[in-house]
Amino acid sequence: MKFWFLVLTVVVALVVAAVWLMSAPRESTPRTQQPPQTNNYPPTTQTQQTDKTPQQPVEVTWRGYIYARVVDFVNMTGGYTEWFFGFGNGTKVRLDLTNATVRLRDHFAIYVGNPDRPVYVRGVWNGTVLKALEIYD
Amino acid sequence: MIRALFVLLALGWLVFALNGYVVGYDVLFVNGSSATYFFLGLDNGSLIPLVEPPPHYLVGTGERVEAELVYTEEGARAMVSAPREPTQAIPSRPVSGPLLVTLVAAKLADVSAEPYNVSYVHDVVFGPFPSMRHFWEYVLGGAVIIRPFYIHWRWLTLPRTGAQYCNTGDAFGSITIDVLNALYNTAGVGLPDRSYLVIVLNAQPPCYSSAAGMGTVGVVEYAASYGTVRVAVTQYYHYADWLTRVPDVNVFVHEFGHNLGLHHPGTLANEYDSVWDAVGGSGVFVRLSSWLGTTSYHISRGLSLPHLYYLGAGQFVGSGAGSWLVGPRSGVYLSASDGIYTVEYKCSGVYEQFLDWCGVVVHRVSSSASGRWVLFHTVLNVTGQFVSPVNFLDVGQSAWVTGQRVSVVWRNSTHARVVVGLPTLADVVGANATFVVGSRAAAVDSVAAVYARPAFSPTATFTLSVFQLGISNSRMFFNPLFAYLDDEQWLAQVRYYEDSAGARRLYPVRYPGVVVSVGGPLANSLTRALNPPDRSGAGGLPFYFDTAAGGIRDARTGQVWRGNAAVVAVVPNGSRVYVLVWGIGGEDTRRAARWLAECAPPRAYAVVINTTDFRVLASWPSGFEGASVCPGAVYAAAAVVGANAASIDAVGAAMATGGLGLLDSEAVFDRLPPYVFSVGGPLANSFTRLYNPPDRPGFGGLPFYYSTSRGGIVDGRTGALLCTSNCFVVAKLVDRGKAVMLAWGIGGDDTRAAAAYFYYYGRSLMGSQTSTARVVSWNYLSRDGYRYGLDFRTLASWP
Repeated sequence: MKFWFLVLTVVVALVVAAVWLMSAPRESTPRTQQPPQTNNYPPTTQTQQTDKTPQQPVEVTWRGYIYARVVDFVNMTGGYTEWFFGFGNGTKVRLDLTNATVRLRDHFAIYVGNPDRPVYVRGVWNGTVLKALEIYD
Repeated sequence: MIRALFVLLALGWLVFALNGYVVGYDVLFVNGSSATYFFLGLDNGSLIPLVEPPPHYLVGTGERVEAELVYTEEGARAMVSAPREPTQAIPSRPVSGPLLVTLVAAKLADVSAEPYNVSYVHDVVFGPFPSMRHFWEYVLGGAVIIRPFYIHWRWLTLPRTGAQYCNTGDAFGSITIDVLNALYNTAGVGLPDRSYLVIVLNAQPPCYSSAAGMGTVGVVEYAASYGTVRVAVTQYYHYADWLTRVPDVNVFVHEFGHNLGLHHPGTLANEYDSVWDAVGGSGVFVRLSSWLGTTSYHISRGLSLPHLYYLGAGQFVGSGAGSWLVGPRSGVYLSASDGIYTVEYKCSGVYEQFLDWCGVVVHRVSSSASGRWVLFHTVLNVTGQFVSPVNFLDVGQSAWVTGQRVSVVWRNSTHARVVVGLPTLADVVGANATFVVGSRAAAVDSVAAVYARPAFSPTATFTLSVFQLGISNSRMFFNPLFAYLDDEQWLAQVRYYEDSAGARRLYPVRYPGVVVSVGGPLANSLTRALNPPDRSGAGGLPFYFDTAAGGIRDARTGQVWRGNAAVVAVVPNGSRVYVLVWGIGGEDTRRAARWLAECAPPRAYAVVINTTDFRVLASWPSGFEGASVCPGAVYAAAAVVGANAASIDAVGAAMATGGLGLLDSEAVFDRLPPYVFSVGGPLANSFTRLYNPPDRPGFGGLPFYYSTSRGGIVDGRTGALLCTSNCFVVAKLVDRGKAVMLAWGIGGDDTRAAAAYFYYYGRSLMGSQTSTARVVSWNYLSRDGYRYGLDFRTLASWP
């Protein structure tokens, strides 16, 4: 009976540790390990801004590339940058960086439009825009 | 034990670490062969042979390098290590080799116009100067070759209308995919991975009605019919018909800059606000004769250092405090909590030559930004819509950058000397200077400026920018003055910017240059403002004139020197760097200026010197006391002014020449150097009177003289009164093997103008083998109420 209690304690401790590890922040995840993916269905069309299908926002973590393009106006005022997240297969979605926390090893500028530097983006996908919460590599 | 070994190794490194400049020379042999020798030049002038040839880009550039001393069989040699590189806070993603570019002119399905010949578009992109290809190959120092991969030599008709593209929600992407597919389907062209695609459209899609161009930042992936394509894409929209006559090279250069990974480097207020960077707002219309004949070309004017560094074409010669020589594609960086600040000099270059001004500019590289990461830094705190054309430092100007003083003390067309931290006396020797003397100072005070001048070089920089579209740009240089009285209105350097409402505004600054203020606080109001009597001066300068004690006091120790003493100090204040030269008496001031000319000043901010033996009596900071190092000087020229002349005459003398500064009563002909400038008219200067007396022709038949009865300059050959105001006489008279140069006018201003004439146009007089003279009328040039230069017109000449 004494041993049975000890075994139960160890098992509970292991389960708690496993759950803790699963939900631990990224910093504690070894770099070789795949990041957790609560939703793993990237959109399949070229770009998703035309997809008006209402969709329940879901948190996703996707691996891919950060793309940008700059619109330059004739009168040199009001130029703006549009951001995209690409999956490497030609599929891109619009990317909102407004609330993103950047945790990249190099300067952000190194990653933009760079096929050699994929990133993970954790964010909220609403079917139209990926609102990035965290970007890391 | 191991720790001790490390300490020893560290000490050894410190002992043998060197820094200096790489220099070299070629020896050409009679048989046609040659040999090249390279050395590390130390600050003290020593040359140490290099153990191996250095990188070519370091030779003769004046860029400071680190080196190590190594011992070989031939003796001690230096081995160059690379210049210091900044931390990773400045990103770097070098680009090199061939960049393959595909060019397509495409028509929207609902617009039939073909506004350009494709050959014209080809030349804008791939042509000789000015073109997109030429710009990027040039600014990246030949590191890349922009090579046409495929050119579609006829207009490609797109399958959709402008509105249909807009309805996709991503007109840019949809046009790109249609072009990729069309090239593949009609020409069998599939674009290489990571290549570049330039699409010139014949109109603006409705959703891009304000756009001139768009560019991807780096590459973007596209799902073409033949697979996923990763290309960097630019699109140009035909937004105005003048584009067919005026090649808009700038917009192609700008968008391609995005393709290379660059964002807009403007200010926080306006991301385009940088005239110093092609990916900012550096475009300017310049009339040139080039591949489209003589017409206006809209060109870019260079690339900022952070962008050059990012692309692998820029480098940093150092960081933090020090005196740095920065040149094309090189600069200095300063680390700060909000990023890295880069300091660079922009002036010469194929494209940079069209900048309105030469200047030192600062950018901040943000380490945390997820968009624009280079920001133009407004060093002069002028804010508004478009202020980058005024926020730069010319020589003598100084600004706080992230808590450190950044001062520009010297520049030529390619390099500038930038001092980070407080400049020392050693740093300002050779600076581009302007000179100021007290308007009521004794002539001996003022003539000290003549002695000071050889220690510096007069500022000769631009006074006015063009800043008008559609005309050929050139920097405007209008014979500016560089010697002034303390109470005088200076010439202005007139810069332009746009205020917050977008209206064009003037930003006049005093004519640049390190301001050498000669004469003490009682004689010179500028000196008095910076170094007032009876208290410490600007920036904590501890030496001041103690009126009660009648001498110079050191505020730190209380020590007072009551005779044969003078102060020489560097004082950055506001946005300028000042050098103060003053003694207890006028003769002390003159001796202090002579000390500057003949001795090597120490790395101190200020000294008190003994004006008899030039010993340093006190220094700030202390530690430089003792005998001065004075190699001496050989004076080829002297300036003579009247002992009782107005101070402005002596100011004129400093305009005319540097050398011996003498009063007329001190001028002994046999002891004078070969060139003698006698400044001031016959009534104010007895030396001038010897050669050019009033009311009659002068030495050797010089026909121009001052008529006391008619109050003007008369030509003795005709008896005509040539002028009574705003005119002067300049002459070269050959007397017993010496050249006596006369410069005098009706009034003191005229005399200074005469001296300025000698500075700018005197060569034609001085080159004459025989005596010669001119009468010249002059005026100030002004614009919007600001004087910016001098204008001359010859009234008569002799012979």
